[in-house]
Amino acid sequence: MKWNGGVSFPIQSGHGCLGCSEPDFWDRGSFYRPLSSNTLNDVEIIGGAAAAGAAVGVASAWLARRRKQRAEKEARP
Amino acid sequence: MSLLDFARGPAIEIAIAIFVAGVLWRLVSLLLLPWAKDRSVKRADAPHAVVGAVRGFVRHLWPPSTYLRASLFSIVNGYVFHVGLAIIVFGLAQHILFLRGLFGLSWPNLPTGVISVVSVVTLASLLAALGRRMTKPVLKLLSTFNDYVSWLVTFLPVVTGVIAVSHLWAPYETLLSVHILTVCLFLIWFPFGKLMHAFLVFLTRSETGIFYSRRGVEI
Repeated sequence: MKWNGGVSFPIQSGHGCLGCSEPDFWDRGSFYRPLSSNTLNDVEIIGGAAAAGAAVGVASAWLARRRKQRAEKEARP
Repeated sequence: MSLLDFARGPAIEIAIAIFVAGVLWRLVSLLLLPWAKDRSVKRADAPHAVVGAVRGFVRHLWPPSTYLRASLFSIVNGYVFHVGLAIIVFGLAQHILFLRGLFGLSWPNLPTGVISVVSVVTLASLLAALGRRMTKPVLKLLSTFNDYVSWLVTFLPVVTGVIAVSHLWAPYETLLSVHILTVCLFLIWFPFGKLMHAFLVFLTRSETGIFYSRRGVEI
């Protein structure tokens, strides 16, 4: 099976196999990534960072509330 | 591992993780702090807090005429580089491809020529902002390490981006790596310095709007 009315296909022109005869060809994404895109994009790392950041935020707000309560207690006659 | 592999692999991943963790830490810790109770008597004609917040935010987009003359340059220049940065970040095709990789969303890009012009204007505007900060005695006195670092980490990605797109002085892969590494610096500094105003400006101006509208202050 060749392209352009039988002129050529990727391997004949020196390219690696694209799997063009596979089912749903094109719709399963590209073989290439743009040079500017990141290569990892690990959801677990970013999600973990989000959870850690929120947890530290909750902890620091809790400490601030505790400090406030202590200060109020000490200020009472 | 090449410099580009490092920049668009672990470096940008760690920078994004620090950015996300830092922003959430700042926002959550701030929003969960005890709120001071407003003991003033609310005006009978005071609008709902949400209306006051929106009004306060919109009103602060432009200074009152009394202060306009004195602050015209900083206001206009501030708009120029903020809008310029937004156009560069969201309009350049390479950036849209990067964002598509992150979020899966994409939109049509602006022509490269337009981005080039906007980039040069943005760079000039950022330099003007720095020049003003360093030459106005009062502003210079008020400026801290935080202001200068925040300026630098904003300026560096723009200038390295312009150099990369122009293919100047080094192979494109090297220029792109340096550009991505400067973006990493920007992301890492963002939550801990004054760049956090990109999030906090909505809270501070809205709170001021609520405070004033409750008391019937015309702003």
